[in-house]
Amino acid sequence: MIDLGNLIEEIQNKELFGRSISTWILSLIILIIGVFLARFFSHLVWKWSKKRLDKHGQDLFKKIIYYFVIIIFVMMALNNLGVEFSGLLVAGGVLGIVLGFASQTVVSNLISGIFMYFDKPLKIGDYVVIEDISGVVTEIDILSTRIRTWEGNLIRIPNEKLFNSIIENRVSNEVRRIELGVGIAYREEMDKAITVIKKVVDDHRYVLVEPAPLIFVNALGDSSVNLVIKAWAPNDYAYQTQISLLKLIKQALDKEGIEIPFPQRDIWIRKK
Amino acid sequence: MFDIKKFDIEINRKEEKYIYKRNGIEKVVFGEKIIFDLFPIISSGISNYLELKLKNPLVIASSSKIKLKITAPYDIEARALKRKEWISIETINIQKEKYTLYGPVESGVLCRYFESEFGEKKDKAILNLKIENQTKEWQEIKKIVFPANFHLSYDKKVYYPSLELTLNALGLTISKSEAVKGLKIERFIKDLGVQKKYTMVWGY
Repeated sequence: MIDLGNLIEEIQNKELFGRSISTWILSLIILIIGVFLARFFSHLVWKWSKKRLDKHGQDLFKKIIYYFVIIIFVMMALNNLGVEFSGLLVAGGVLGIVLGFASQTVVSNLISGIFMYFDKPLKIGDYVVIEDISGVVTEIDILSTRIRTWEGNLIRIPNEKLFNSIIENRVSNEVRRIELGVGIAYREEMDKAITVIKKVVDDHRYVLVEPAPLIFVNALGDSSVNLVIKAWAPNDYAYQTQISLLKLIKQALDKEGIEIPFPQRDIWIRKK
Repeated sequence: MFDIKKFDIEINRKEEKYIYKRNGIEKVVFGEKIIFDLFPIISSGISNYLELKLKNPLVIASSSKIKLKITAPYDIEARALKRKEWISIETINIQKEKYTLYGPVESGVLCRYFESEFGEKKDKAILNLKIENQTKEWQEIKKIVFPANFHLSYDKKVYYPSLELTLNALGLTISKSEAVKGLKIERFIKDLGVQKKYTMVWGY
């Protein structure tokens, strides 16, 4: 018959990498408890911060707590295996340099992520333009930020790169200015064209009364007198306002018989 | 007070459903013993605030109080009702829908815009104002801005709740006064996240 007590004792006394099996098991249990507690505390913090922070802050705070608890329990497990941290600090110079170089980008992204939380250049749902990428922010993580472009592609930008980039946030204010250009033929009356366009702009539901729209002659072009229309619209309706205004202006100019010319060239043939 | 036919609304009953039609909008409402009716509402549209620009600016002497009426916008809400429960079917704009920004671009508030006149006018709501100038100077009021988070009431006319306007060193503070006469319209007030008192700090 197998003596179960002896078997357990034998296994416990067996060594693996210089440590008894029971020490390894205890370290594993510490790690499992650590993961469980990290999840528990991060969830608790997430619930607590639900009414106090925005989604970005909630996610960041949750992850910081999660990794903090995990690190403590990893250290406890390693300590149980006999790893001396004071010794590591003294003797781990080379290892520290190696780890330092390896984790440089990660740490840099992490710190940039924390700085960005306080700086708040963007938040989830914002329409942003970052260098040549434009789209909606879908996720701000501790290491990276995800943007869904207008084509539906998902772009992941490391926080360090994002932190050092020029960020154009198109929805940080309630209103946004839109700009349109229209060219009229040289023979047309400029003031009449401006009056026609002004009526269209003033009648548009989403063109704001204040700040007042501007319509003026911007340039005397090669083929046309170029007019510029600058109008403010509520942010959420700016794009549709821009699209509809252009169409309505063309229709109004057509109705008044004001010509929008094609590019033209006058050719003079020299007689010999 | 409001006639459904005046707004080109057509309601047809087919078995257990009602078909609501107006200007190409068609909605099917299922249920029995349903009544369709129209109610005046303060419609701030895509904004939570109203800006009433006074057609003629108002000048008020120092340390004085005045009472006056001005016109204000209202819209019509078509509702389907069953006993006390109701649902909004459509909002019909009576006044032209326009918006403006009150304050600077980076921190101002988006408001529904309306040009108000003194007195009463057809198809416009009545807003009673009590204005007190607590400053030691003459003041000119060109516009008033306030959060649109209250009910309208009506009898033969449509009324806003009276507003109290206090001019002091902080600016022009607007607060709601007592309720007005007429029927109070039960309406779900959205949580607009705006305060009951509003101080116009960017000029008036």
